[in-house]
Amino acid sequence: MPVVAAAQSDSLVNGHRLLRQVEVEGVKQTIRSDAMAVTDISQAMVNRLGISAIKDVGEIAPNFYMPDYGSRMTSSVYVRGLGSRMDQPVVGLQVDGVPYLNKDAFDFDIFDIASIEVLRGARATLNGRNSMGGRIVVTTMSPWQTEGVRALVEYGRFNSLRGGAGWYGRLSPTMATAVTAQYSAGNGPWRNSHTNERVGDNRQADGRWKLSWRPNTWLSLTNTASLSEATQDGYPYRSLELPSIAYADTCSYRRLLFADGLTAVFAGKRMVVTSTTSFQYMSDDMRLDQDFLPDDYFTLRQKRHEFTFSEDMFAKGSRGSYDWLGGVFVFSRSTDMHAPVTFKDTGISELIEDRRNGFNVENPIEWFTRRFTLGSDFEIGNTGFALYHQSTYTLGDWVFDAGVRWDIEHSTLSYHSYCNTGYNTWHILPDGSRELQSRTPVVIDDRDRLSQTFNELLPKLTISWHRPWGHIYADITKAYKAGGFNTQMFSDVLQQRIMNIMGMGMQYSLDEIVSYKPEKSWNYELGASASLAGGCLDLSATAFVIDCRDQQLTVFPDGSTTGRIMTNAGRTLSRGLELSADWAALEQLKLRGAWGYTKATFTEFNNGISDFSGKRVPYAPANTLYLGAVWTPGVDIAGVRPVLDVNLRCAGDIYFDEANTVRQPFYAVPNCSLTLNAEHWSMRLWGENISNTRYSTFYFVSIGNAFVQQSRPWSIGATLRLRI
Amino acid sequence: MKFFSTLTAITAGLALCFSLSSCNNSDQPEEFKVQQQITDSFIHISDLSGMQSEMNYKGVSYNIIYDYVEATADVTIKGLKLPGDQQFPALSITKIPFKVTNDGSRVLEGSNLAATSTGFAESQLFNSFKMVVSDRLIDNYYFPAVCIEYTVNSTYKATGSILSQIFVGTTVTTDINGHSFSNETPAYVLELDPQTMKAALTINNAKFIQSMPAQTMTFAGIPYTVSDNGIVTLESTETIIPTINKVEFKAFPISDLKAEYNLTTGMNLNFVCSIDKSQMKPEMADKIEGSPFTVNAKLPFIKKSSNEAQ
Repeated sequence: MPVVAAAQSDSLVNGHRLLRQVEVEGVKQTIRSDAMAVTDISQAMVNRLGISAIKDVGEIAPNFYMPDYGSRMTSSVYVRGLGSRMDQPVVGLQVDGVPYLNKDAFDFDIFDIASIEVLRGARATLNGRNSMGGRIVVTTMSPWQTEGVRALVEYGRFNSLRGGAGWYGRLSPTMATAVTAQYSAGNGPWRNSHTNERVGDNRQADGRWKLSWRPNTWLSLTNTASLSEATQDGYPYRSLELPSIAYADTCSYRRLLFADGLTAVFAGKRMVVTSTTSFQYMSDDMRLDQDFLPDDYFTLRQKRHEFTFSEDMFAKGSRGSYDWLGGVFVFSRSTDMHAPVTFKDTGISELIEDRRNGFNVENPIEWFTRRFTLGSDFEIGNTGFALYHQSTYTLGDWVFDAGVRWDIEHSTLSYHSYCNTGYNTWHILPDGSRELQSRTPVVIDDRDRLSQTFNELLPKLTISWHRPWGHIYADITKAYKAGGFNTQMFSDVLQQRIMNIMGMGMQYSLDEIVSYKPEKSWNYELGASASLAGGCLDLSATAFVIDCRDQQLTVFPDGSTTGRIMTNAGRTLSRGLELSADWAALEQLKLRGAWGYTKATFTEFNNGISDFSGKRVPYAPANTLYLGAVWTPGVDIAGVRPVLDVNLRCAGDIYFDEANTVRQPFYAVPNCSLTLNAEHWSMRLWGENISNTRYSTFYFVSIGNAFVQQSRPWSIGATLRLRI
Repeated sequence: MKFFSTLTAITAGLALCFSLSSCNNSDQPEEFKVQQQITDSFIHISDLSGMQSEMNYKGVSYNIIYDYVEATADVTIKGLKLPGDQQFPALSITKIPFKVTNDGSRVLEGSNLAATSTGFAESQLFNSFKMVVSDRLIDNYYFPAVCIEYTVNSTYKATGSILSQIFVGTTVTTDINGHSFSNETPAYVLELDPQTMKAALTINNAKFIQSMPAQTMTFAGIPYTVSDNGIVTLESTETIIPTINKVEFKAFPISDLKAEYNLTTGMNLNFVCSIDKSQMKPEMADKIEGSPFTVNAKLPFIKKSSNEAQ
């Protein structure tokens, strides 16, 4: 019997419970070793809930929260109290085997999602960097399992329109292909009262081509290429001092994203070797009215080109009770970024001149021009290499997993910061007139190259007990979030440089301000899952403790009330519970619930001004809750079968600052849909946030002003799907 | 922290270089020598008999070759001038006993050392010679603590060091209500001018109260004196108006400034900073309370460890 067929009988090679053929997704997990917390979202659920991007998955997986704010570039994911607004993510994303290393590229629509797995808990041993909180594995429809044409048309409130089509078929007995394309557009539900323009209009076009070749039983090659282009107008941030969104300058985001992944699986007699080679290109352009006010303070533009290459090759095999997996991973990422900040009249007056002239009325300064630009160009490089191994030994009902990974990564930042401006210093005479005292040029032309190298050893130990009804497990894993350089800090750096030239402001090493080292965590988890009542009731429970050290935080350096630096300054402790249940209560009624509770607090964090030890970690919700009911009445009217889905998505409390003075209380968002299913089509009538629950998805403070983004209001629509 | 322009300007005039030679050839005796040059130094000369006026000038340089095997050092002094129009282009002293102390300082100390000089038939007698050099790196800039003392021909006592020095340590500000604020971010750059006997003190990252934004301010024209036992005393009886980027800031008048700079151990500095609110905008002036502020800075060259401090 071929090895492939043998492998099917005892392993979830792709995480699916039913297999006809070997797939390539999630190939590192096997049922005997994968004792961790997993939330599976099937295609039926994807379609029923209208999920088109990973942002739509929040709350369905307990303790998984991905707020929708800003633009498609802002993809902050919070899992079990871990998360980050800037730079490195805490979860990995993989779509059809292609890893997405930059979280700025996490938010894109996918036309034909076949399944989504949210693997919670540290996944560092097999997946390395930036998987402290877990991994999201998205699989699109396979041409081996689907044939024909799939099409979708959708229309909803705010002129939201979505249309797509895909063809799936076999070109030969050994080759299958899927080609999809979709377009979506919609108006933003907000309005900028200063310009009277809508905020949040968006458009995306994307296409995907999957080609799979299986010439024989021991070789499989699959290549998936995708291309997407997204445009978004406006960032819907409102100052708390104003009744509505109001800012003067353009805010927009455009992104072109290309990804290609080639997965080769070789199933030998004693082992299966898998290789995934991926290449990605991202080009994006963000424009921000950085003060988000009607006044002219400053604007930012960030234009970027990024190339990423990765190769993950591993082998897995078994001999009796012993299973093993070992692999090597390499990646290289190169980014060119152009990020100028333009200071305008109000910014020059209030942030520079007034601060200086407030202490010297007799010798005030006046800038040469009412507008100048701080230029910043960056070349960022990341290169990494990893070796990993996992051994699994089965002794009766007991399974013992031990694994280790060694990651080494080298980061470089070449920067060029430039500015050519200046100011006059006047002397006020006794009669009130003034004479020019001096002219001071402010010329900055700084170039340098910074580099860092990290290496991490990431062990893991899992013990699980398996019974026919389920299993219980205990796990200890070390994980980390990569270090690097935060280019967003450069605006602070240059502002400090200008102040230094004026004789004011703290002088700091640039390396101190922008560089940060890896953040590390030890994860302790106890969990259980059970399938009871003949498979009608699936339960899972998890308790966890995460000790996170060298946390990457922004702080105010010694004695400064302005200017920030990024540093590894904190330590947090996350502990919590997760409960989920899938209950086929009746033949026609299925219930689903998922609750996650996290208490994530700082055990050490002094930002140079205040001590936040004991405070809750901001932006991560204390609770997530999903309650859903699917009722299939069993009615068949001329071949049309209705399905009713009602669900409630909840999160909170969420603190938005380290001092825990600003809080979004627990909120609930009800949604519902009625789907009419026929043989070749389905029509889904849906309502989202039908109670029009209003809550804040984001809060921040900039130049002393507080801003929030409100949730999207209620929406209704209809989605027609065709299957030919 | 980095102090870009200030340190760059100072180090341009401070040439300290090392060169190394060693030989470990079995056919030749073992040898390990290090050369160091100290340029841009100041010197204070006093006449022990009291008959002639003291002299203060700059431009004396020292070329030192440390012999770590022999535990001696050779020193060549260039530019030394003594009262009575005595000038020596170069004076060479050899085989000065040399040791390295527990804290890493290099100490040259000897007595009755004959110094030869080209063009002079008679050698000059250094009745006593002591030079202490302690290596210090401040933000990757080399600023050693240097103390040079010697007596020549039983008549003249010379004391000197490098012209510019940088100090870091703990600055404590106490307001009129007795509340204190302490921080270690300010760095003090002292520049001496022997021609005018006035010093300029620049404080980088000056921050005397929590709400004050850090500033780089200069106190110029501070009179100073140099004693024979290696103490530079700065004292100003007049009010000093600090400058920031060469612009006077009358809002922060400085008074009662006194500093004692021990060439071997470091500096202690005290002054009073008042707030003249008439020189500020009202919204800024209202934020500052507790004036005047008494500032005390303890700035040792070598930071004691917690064990040593006990």
